[in-house]
Amino acid sequence: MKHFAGFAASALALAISAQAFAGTVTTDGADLVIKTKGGLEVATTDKAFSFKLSGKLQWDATNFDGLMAADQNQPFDDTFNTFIRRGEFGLEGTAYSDWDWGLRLSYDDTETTEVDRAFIAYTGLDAGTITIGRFGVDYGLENTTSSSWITAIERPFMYDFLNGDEDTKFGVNFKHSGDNYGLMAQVGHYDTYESADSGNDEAYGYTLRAHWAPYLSGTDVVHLGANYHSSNPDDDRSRARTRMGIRSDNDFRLTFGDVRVADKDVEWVLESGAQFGAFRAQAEYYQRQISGEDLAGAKSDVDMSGYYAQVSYMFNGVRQYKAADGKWDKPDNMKGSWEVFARYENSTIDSDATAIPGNLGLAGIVAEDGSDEFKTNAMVVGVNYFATPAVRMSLNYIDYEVDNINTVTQVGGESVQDDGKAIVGRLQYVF
Amino acid sequence: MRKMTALLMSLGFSAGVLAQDYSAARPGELLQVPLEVLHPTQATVGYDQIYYKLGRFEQERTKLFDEYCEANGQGESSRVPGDADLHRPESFTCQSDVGARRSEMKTVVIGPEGRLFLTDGHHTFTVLLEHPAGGEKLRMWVRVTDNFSDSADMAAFWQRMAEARKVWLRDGNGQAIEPQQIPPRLGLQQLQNDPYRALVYFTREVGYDKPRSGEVAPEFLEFYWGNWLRSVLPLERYDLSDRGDYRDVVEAAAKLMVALQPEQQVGDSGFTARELGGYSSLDRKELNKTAGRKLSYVMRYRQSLADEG
Repeated sequence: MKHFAGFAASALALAISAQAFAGTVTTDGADLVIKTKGGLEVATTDKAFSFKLSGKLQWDATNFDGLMAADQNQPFDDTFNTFIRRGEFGLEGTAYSDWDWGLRLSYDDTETTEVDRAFIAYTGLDAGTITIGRFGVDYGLENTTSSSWITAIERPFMYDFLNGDEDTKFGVNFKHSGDNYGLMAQVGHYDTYESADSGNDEAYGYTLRAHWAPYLSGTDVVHLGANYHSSNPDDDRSRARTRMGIRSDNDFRLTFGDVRVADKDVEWVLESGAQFGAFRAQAEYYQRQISGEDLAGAKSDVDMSGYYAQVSYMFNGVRQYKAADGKWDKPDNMKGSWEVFARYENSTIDSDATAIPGNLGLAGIVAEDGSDEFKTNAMVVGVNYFATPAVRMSLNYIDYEVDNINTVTQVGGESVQDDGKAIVGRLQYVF
Repeated sequence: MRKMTALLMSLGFSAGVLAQDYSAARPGELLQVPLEVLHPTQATVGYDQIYYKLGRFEQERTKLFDEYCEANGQGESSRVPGDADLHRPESFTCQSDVGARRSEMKTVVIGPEGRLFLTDGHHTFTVLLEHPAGGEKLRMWVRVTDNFSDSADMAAFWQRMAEARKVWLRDGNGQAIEPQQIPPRLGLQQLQNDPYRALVYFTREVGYDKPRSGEVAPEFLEFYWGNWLRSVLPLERYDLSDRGDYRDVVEAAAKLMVALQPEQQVGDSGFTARELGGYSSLDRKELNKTAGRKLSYVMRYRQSLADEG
């Protein structure tokens, strides 16, 4: 502990001195290497101890109308919002060679600030890495990709309908990585569920992921993956909700299924992706089943399935791929590279009448036919500009539609709309 | 006739370049020279390291310009238009001026008759020489570390070089050679392959890293590691045409490196593991990165060579 404290004190002093353009800097312990490219990283020369400061800011501006603007002062009309989508400041490091740790403070558009990363990982096993604490999980191709480097401004809305992509509140994760594949297993507790039968005892679900790149040649790659997640709701409430890819100040969401006493909630996701040269394509498919009862004890089930397909092309660069993690990474060149993309998304939610809420997120928005399915789809096109390794700018256009919404009813004196559009811009700074 | 004149002029220019005498250059001075005038001070390179770079530059074009800028002590490239050309440095920009980061520059020693002997940068310059956008006429900046041009003859010069540890006198199998056996020019046609040298490159940041903090990395550091690995890790057990096997041997090599005590000698190098930048523990994240990216490019480039026949 004394060694670690000494290292930390020396490293901080050195880092501060380096920032202040001090003269000769010495250390009372091991020799240090300070890296300032992409954040600040300080490590002993043998890498036994290290820490890295990193952060992210994402400012969004969005203009949207239609169904997702139903809760605005002028329902369904054009609405303009700006907000901080993500503000993150984190520390990660290594101690005693094989013990990694991380701590991150995160702010998001729901105006909450929380410690969303607090973990310790043991990396000293040949078989894989064990992580304990609060951390993000690898689940699905686009979800595993960092929010800094996803293609569109928001991930496909199918992830709204999934639970397995949520950060753990507390979990234990094991991950084995090879040169072109990876296997992951996790037991975790999520904010979503606490046992309804046993007071507020935490409920633990589990998650599995396997990914494989059968073809890997430089940045040319074919990626495949499969995921399974069981939430173990333990009679807690389980819902099928979505923002349709549009974030707003009010954080309005549509709810197509609401099982008040859920005893089973399982889902699986299939991943596929390929990149050849500057052209990239990917698609993911999922299914989720929630089973349980409503508050009156009647059977109440929700079945969901859906997919998205996306193509993109990059000018003056190429996306990198992390084979050991099964995810896309930042472009190789971020000094003026452009990326264009198009994505189509589609999900179907089949809820028992007992699972369809009286309103779908706002009074006046109701199902047209309680015995029918909800069908959602969206087309997203956009462009990304990577100005520097730290600065990215994005512009997206979203056209969405939901079937089985009653458009005869009114909200705020306006007839309900079942579709809409949005233009979203983002400025991102990462270090 | 005009073609003949141009040919004669270019031949004359070429001869002039080759004959240039740098005897007056002083230690610390920066020189801009075509790659063809640089004399190697080692007979071998790790082909797979060069294949990795060439394979990567095929797909990640701007990295070629990063390599060029870094070797000139200019940091990375900062703007690389579509028509950028290494032979026209004004067609792209680097982060800094030439020599702004002197410690990152490749180094030369001035030898008899003012000839330039490259002591660091054999791999980088071989990559630039072999790349279709580069070639032996490509002009690069180098930093002079020593001027041994006053050596009585070549034998005396090589003696001084050996004493200063600025020459690597072993062939691709680790057998001792004479200085005269070092080829006169850079390039894959000239230099032999030492697979252990490439292996050590792929263990960088997995089992060791070049010492940077307050110490000067010994020249030919990777050869010291490689020569020791040759004695403890037979490559015949592995199929280096298979990426998975290659990953295994990189892991095995790195494990041997980190198993050494910091003050333990690395073979007969005369340096300790600490002096050669040995880690105390394997960095598995870097190992995965190396396996997934670097080795993937090696295989890709090898395949392209095979396809070309």
